[in-house]
Amino acid sequence: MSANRQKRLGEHLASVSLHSFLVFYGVLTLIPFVWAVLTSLKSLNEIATSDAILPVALNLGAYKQILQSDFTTWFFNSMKVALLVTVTSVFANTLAGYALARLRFVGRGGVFQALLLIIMVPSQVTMIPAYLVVARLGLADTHSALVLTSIVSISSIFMMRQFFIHFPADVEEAAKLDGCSPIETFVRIVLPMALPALATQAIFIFMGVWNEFMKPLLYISSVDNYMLTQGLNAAAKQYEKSAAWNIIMAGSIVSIVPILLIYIGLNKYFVNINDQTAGSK
Amino acid sequence: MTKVVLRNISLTRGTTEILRDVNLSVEAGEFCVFVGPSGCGKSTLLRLIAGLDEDADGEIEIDGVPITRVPAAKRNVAMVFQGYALYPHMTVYDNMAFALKRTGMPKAEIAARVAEASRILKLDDYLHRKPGLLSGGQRQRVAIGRAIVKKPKVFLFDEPLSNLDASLRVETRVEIAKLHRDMGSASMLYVTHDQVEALTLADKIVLLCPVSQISAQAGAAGSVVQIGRPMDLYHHPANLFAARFIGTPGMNLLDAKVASLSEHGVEVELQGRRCHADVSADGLAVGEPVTLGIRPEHVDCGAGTAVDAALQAQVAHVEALGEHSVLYLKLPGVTAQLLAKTLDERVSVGDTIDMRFPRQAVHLFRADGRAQARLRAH
Repeated sequence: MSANRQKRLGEHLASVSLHSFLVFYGVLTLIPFVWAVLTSLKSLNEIATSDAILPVALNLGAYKQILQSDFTTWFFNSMKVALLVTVTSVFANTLAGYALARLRFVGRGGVFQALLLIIMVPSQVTMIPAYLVVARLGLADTHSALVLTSIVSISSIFMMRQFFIHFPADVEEAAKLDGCSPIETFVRIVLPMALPALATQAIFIFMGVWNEFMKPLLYISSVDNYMLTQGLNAAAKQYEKSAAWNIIMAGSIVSIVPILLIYIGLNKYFVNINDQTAGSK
Repeated sequence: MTKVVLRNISLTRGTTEILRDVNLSVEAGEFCVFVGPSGCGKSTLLRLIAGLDEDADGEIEIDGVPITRVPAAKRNVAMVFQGYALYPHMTVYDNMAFALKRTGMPKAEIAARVAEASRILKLDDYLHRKPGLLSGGQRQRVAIGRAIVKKPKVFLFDEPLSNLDASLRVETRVEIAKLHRDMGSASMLYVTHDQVEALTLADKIVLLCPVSQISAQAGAAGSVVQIGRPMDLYHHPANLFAARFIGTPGMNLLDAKVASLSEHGVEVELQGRRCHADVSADGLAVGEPVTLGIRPEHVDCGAGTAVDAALQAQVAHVEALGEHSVLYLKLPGVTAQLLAKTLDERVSVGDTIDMRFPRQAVHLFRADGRAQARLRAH
């Protein structure tokens, strides 16, 4: 057997092993989701009496029940807060990242180093002081408290700074020669070219806020103001007593739909993060 | 009439001096090429004219109007960048029309200008594509088109061909030369490190050297070492720096001593051999140390050389390039290697060859680096 053929066989085996592992990992990851979907489609009686994995008949009762409960209020509360935070945070973090990467001002290095220091402080340390500030501002038990304390994301600022550091300067210079002011250049040239980075940031921020549990637990106390995670937690405790797993799972499934939709919608930008300037040169 | 004048341009950033005392006048319609080694400030000079950098001392004028403190967009210049700098989210049409739209120009006129530029650059079929779907050569043509539609007074090219492969480079070079002919009175300032581009495109070459290398040897007080027509720089380098830089490979430089002087030229002694040079004897003295220069393509080591051979050398290395071969020669008693171009493909490493330096091809440089004037004009 020639050395070349042996090498090809080795590469083929390595590829098969890698793909087998990835398929196994994928299946392992999917099992809880599949189980949750199947359980949500069973009746309460079927869950209690049958060991079968597949439901005997598709029962949408659990979904009907959660849609008639406080679930919809919590869903829209979460949606409102997540969208507000995503829009304001992407705007603020992008401007901050651009300033740190491109603008020359006294203390730029110091500001960046301070941000890096802050990112190292665990959120648990600042949680109580932040709550005291929010409470003194009269914002406790309001969604504003959640939005205001989530706008600045240092990791996003860091990501955008890195993005803009590698952004082609000559494109901005071409815009300057074409008569654009710095703000026009940012809005008409830089931002459209930064879409992949903005989309990536938006996905992470939306997911973070949507899945946030500790912060709502700390700031929100009225049931009507609950975020979805809080509501699901409260409902789970209530339904666990009656072993209503179908309702708990239906709630969980509906709660991940927005994240799936935003990921699918922005996926084409998300995968292009490293190709943001294709065609500029 | 578009004339560009630079007066006493100097630039220091931090402790680094980038440009020193640059004075230059580019006539209307002239194609002026800035050449020089890395770090000589040629791109910086272009950026100062464009208005992208504004931190230099001195004055810049276009058509007699000082523009040193005028914003980049109002200087009526257009720049073609090395990396194209296209807007990837816009179509080719929008890339070319972007600057015109911003001025509020009527749509019909914008369309006409873009159509004309795309016809000249053969981009008609690509107007609705985005740059990401174009080849490197097409992208560079879009970048040139973006400059053409503005109808600027001055075109600035910053190494526009560097990112292209060899064949596209030749093709685009020819297109730029044609563009220059068609553009009438607009001046073109072009930065390159490629001597072929400089020699083939330029009406005027400006040779710059890094400030750190400005010395008595360079024979220049500022960043500009020599200004002239391409063949002036090739045949009459003003100093050692120009002699080394212009030509591929650069000029051979050998230590010699003046042996005798006459109105017909100078005779020098080189390792016990006598060589004649058709250069002016003005200011020279017998016994004065000088540097003898001869271009590799002028070293005569072809068939029949042996008849009046003056020197013998051993071949240390051969680079066969197809159209000719470059010989790396070792002269007895001389440390530096001597390069020679030959059409003879039979020469191989280890051969001893006879050669001579034709007197009309020999240059002489004084100890301070300045060249002696050559008697035969080219």
